[in-house]
Amino acid sequence: MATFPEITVAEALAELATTSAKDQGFTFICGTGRSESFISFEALASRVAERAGVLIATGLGRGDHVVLVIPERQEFVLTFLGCLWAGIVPVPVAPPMGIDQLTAYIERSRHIVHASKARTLVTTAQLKAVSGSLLSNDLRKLETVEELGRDPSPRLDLAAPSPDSTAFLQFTSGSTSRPKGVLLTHRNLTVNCHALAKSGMGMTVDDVLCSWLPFFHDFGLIGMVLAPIFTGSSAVYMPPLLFLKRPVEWLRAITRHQGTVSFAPNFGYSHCAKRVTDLDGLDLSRWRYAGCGAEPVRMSTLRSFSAKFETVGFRPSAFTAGYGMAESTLAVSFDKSEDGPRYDSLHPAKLHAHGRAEPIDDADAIDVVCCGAPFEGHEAKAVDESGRTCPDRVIGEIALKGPSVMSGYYDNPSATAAAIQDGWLHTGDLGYTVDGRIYITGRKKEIIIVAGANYYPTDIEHAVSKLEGIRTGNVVAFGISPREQDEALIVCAETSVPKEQHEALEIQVRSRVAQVIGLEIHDVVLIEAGTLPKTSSGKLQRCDVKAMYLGNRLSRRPRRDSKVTTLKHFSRSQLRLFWSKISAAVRSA
Amino acid sequence: MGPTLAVSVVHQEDFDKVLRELVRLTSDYVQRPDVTAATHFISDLALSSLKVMNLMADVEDHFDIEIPVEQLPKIRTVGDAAKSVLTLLGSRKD
Repeated sequence: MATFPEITVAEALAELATTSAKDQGFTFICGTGRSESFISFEALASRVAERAGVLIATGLGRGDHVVLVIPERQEFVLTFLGCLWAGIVPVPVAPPMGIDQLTAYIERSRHIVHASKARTLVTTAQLKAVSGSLLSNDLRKLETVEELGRDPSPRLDLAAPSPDSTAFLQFTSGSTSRPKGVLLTHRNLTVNCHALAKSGMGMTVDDVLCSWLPFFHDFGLIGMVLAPIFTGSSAVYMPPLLFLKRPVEWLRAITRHQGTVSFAPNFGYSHCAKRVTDLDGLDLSRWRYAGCGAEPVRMSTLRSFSAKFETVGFRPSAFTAGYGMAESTLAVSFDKSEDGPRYDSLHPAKLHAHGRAEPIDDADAIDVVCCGAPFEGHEAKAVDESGRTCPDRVIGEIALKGPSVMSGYYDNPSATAAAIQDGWLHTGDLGYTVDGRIYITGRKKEIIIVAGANYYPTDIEHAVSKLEGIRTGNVVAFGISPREQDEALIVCAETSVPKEQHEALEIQVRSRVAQVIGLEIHDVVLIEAGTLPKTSSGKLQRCDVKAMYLGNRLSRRPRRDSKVTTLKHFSRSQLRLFWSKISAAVRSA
Repeated sequence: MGPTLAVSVVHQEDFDKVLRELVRLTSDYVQRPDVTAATHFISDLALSSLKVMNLMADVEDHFDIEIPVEQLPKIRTVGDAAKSVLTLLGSRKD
């Protein structure tokens, strides 16, 4: 059994304040990417202790929950760490991205605030009005970081919480109406940070992390802010929006700061491969851990990223595919090989129809990237429907055990009991193992993952159901994974409006989902009332609708797609099917 | 403080010129002819936030400006983007 040190994040920071060099610490890149501000670990610890003192002075006590809605990155870090320092339990909530989805944002955040049972919310002066609408009977107090920063308060002595007390609540699971807060203890954080940073990547004080990931995402917060505190590694943070707008800024930050460790979901690498054209001045030769996870890792993306950036020193051997989830703190496993990413080329039919991962040497093969073996002291296995362990290369649900696994969902014993059975966390992810290494092939749970963010079909269905012309409750949303492309959202809805109005209704559906959920729909299928498959109790069958969609068995009007889909987007087998259908149609005509 | 979106002091002709360019860039990006100043990126064009960001990067390249990320969430329509661009072009001349 592996042993992990019994030191909390705050204790590690206090230690770092006395041991780290003056030029070690965190750098924050501003919104244009043109200027930066640096804070040494020593100064950070001092300001965190001050922030902890101010938080306690507002009346918060140890173990109290406090919601943080703070877009300013340095202020977020100070306040989050200040909470841990004081033994207060922070509940990070994503700030609103724009004024468009405000109603949906407030609805979602209200549910989180309510479920967290927080008494206080900390936000910024700019967001005070929006955050004010989150106040409720349970949560009555609102503080701004500007006011907290203004009040001089003595530094608080470090609280020494028990390793098994709650460190923070991560609300990243569950649909809008039923958010689930993952309870993470100080031990969970310490173990996972150590496992991923020290054992997983061998991170040291000489490493420099560069991250654009949001802080309300487990990857961005635990992996990029907390883990380096345990290793004393410096880190550089840039605003996620800057990355979205100009992905080259991420690579420029890595170049400028001689970054050695950086993580992104698959989409981050594909965004760079697609959008970055100016490679002038880039030097990625020091980047030794290019982590990729939080959504399915695609070999084609890694290949195109390598092909583009090898000329500026990027090494494919830097790719580190990972598997993880909030319920296991953050990371479960990493895989890194000197020969570049390891993957299996699998027989598609055997994988889908028989649940067997059989390697083949064929252009039609599906590439599944290896995510590595679980960290020391942790276990992973694939299990079948009856809970029996699957042999190697047989697809099952991935189950996990170990000290990174959450103690449960906050105040939600039924969800906890469903997730953790006999000490094993049932992840809802489908995959297989080979010699202890994990490969992920799909999902049992019906989540749609786009750009590393989880979306729940019920939220999308609910939004579409409210449109006039759509039969309430007769909407199905699901994701499909076109070959080697990002997951695409499909919405099928029953309607009774005449066919000539379908085009206008389709535009409304697309617009509604873009506004409320922030997602672009790949395909809208409007079908006649009473045609969606249901169970005997009248419940919609998402899996069946998806299978019908993929098998082209949903009766609908001919599609007029606003997007141009070219033949290169299809696999050879899809093309063969396509041509056989065309020739069959021609023959029958 | 960054530049505001106020255009009251700016000549209407300049605004119209920038707007025409914005309409053209957006129209090319989404491959639709019906783009106007009032066109809303999300509710009319159903663009994801990533696509809006891509478009904004094209706009920046075209005008050789940088739209600070803090301003991005406030840009909802083609007209908003034109105002933002105009203000940034104006502040560059100062």
